[in-house]
Amino acid sequence: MDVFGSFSLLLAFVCAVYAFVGGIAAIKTRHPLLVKSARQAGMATCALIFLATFCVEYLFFTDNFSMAYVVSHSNRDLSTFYKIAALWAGQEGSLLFWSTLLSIYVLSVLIAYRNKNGELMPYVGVVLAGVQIFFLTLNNFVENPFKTLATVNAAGVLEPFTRLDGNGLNPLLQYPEMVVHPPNLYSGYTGFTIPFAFALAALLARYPGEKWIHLTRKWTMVAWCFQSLGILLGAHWAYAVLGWGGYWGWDPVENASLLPWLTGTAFLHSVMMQEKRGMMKVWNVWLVFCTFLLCILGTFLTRSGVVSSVHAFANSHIGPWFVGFICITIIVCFVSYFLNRDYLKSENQLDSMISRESSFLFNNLLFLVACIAVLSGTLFPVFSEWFTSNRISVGAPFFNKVMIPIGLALLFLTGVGPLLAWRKTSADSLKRNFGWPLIVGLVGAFILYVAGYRDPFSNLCLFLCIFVFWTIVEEFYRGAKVIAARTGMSMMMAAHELSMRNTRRYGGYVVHFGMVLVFVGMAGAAFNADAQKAMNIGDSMKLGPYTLLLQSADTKVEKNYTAQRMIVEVLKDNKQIMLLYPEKRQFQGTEQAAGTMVAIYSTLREDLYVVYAGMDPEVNVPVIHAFLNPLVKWIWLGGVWVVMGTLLALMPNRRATLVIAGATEAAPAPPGTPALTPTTTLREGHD
Amino acid sequence: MTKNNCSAGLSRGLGGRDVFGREARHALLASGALAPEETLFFPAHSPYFTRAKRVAFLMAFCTLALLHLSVLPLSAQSPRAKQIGMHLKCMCRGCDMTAGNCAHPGGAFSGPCDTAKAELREVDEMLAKNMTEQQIIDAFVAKYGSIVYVEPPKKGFGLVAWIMPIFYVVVGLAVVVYVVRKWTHRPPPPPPVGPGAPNETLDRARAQVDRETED
Repeated sequence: MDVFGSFSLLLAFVCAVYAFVGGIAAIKTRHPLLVKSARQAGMATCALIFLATFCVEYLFFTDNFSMAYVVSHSNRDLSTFYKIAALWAGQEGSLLFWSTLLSIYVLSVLIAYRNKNGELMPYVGVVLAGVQIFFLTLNNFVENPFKTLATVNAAGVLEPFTRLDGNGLNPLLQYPEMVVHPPNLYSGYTGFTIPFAFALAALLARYPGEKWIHLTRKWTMVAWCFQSLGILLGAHWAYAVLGWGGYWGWDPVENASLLPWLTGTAFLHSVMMQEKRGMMKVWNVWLVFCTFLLCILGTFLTRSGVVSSVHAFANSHIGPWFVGFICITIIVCFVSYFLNRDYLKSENQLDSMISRESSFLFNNLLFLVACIAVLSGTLFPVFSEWFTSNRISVGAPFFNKVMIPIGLALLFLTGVGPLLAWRKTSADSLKRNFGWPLIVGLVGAFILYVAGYRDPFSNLCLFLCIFVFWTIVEEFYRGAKVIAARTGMSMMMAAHELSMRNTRRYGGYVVHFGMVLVFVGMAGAAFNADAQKAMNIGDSMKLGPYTLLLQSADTKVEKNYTAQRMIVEVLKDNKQIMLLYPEKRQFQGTEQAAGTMVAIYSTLREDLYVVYAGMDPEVNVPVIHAFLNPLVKWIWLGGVWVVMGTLLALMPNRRATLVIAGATEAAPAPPGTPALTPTTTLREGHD
Repeated sequence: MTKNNCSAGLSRGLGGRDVFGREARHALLASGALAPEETLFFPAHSPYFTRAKRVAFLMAFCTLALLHLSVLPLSAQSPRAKQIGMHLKCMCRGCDMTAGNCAHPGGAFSGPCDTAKAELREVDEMLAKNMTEQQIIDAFVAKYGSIVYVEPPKKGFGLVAWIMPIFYVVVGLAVVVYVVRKWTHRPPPPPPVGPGAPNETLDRARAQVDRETED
């Protein structure tokens, strides 16, 4: 099976090279058969990569301990669930997994557009094949997952060697989120390759108009959704596994996943400028180039361990390859831009500073500043070592100081931007749109202040959250009212109808609402508290309104690990609320053998987060570390809304049926006259 | 999540019976044998505390903590030390966290590892010598090098890190303002000429209305 897998991987490389070279030849000669063969080579590449991945999984499931990769990341007792995840536990597998996820996108694109966009698709195929060649080079020649173990026998000859059992999976990865977090994040990283390929292809082919944006809109949203979900799942994993009580530590790898998300979000917004007003064409092309480059950079930072962090499980020599690929990509982007820059001329003018257009500009400005600030902060320690031979640390306090103001400004624009009209907004409409949200926000913030939540940034954040929330409510209310009046539906039905008629706009609002929830959750961090105590059985400890009582402790023997479990009773006002079971797990067959299981009692108001830290070495009693983290649950809820909003935005618009009061059916337009209704989406009301 | 639900279900399922010695402990609580205040809890960021109270509490606590320093177990550093520890890197080179929140993932003891604890104890000792936060940080930087402080220093090359974000904002704003100005002064696209022009204009206008009102 390993030989088979290894061979399919090599064949995939050959096919990708053919798709690339053949594609270029097809573009030059415009020979239909060549076009077709290049496309099919692209599809074959994908199929062969799937096959290789399947082989790796097969080797894991059959406990083939003659394979180096299986030995390093699995053992016999590892549960089936985690054997799937073992694929992306190490360097080689992660890179193969990257190729696999990319192949899913590539195959979907090649199949979906096989009979469409004949001018553009050969270019797209070439770009995609180029990216695939890079990753397949790594898979085949640098980090091959199909390496077998060998030993030197008595005669001094190398011979194959099989271990009895493997080293097991890193305990930090033996957590359900680790099975879903990397696929999501990687789907985000790889997904941005599709808009990149279309943008570069459109530029190279001088493909007319905004077609590439229309084609890639949904792909971008899908990638963005995966990226958001991946980041949030990663945060949740850190929260539930690392046991330090927080979910975001501005770790280099966390930052790396945030960077393409920031530019990707900027891109999702600025494409609207191009679609509606034909502006910012150059900007959009560059934004999507940057997003792709940051995805590669993110993969590089995650996998190479250049900036040391808890996530860089593997250190290796792939660095130069990535730097080389990033350089080539930048050069290709620059050259194709300079050769075709005349094709990206903007056509419209701007009417006013207070308009939707300028709010998009500020949105993009903030996202970009956030992105560059995080990027330079992440790489700063490396630079400082280069320039001064003295490593300067850039940690969470720095990022918090820089990013909180930017985040709050973005939150403010989330509320304001969508309500400004295109072109020009009158003072009257400003008053109409923002009067109530401002009042409600101020009242809400005042109530929170009186209730004891007193922290300047937190209060400002919560004020903005209420403000944005109210603008969104008003948007739905106004739209729904018009539909309800015209059709006689109930308000709830009308709001549903409204969302279905313009899924992108109202899906966007739902995503904004999700982001508001995330911000509410983050505002809670200002009020975190924690306590730590070495506790004998029967001891208690107080934290906020809760009392923790150590009831007893037991030992739980599982197949793959032995857990020491503390049974902690949680009381509030002398009433028992629940029992929490923080654990310490001792894994078999691993060097880094211990793992923590945090126990969390989560409510909308706050999380009670209890860690069994281990036995105090001096007094030999269990140490319980408890955190009180207000509002954290809102972050995860926000994530759910973000995904739902994106799904709504991905749905096709439902056409409005025009109902004129009294009439049951709209009269068909007489033939010959220019008919407006059948081709235009009917807008209800306002803008 | 599942874990919580399951333990919630368990506690509910057993509710009403004194399986966990709840009533016995309540009796203890009532009799005063078990004092819940007897804990090392200090809600430094708690919303329930006003600033004045917080400062008073902090000072009282620090004095107490310093008096009891020798008898406190390792796991209980003073909150002040922990707060300062949040700005100092844990120098074990394994966890990449701060000494204050070192959880040492994967270690046998999750919570501050020995290195972090030693650092916190050092901070405690310095606090006992009435050193200010800045002096403590300077002492650490002198001992371990600039890497130990998690923020870039506001002098020398470290200043570059602080100036960069401000620089980005200024440059970005300048670009946006420049672009907006340029666009507001851009002449409107020239009207089309020739036969059939009115129709064409109408079509284009219609297309534009279509685009701009789509969402």
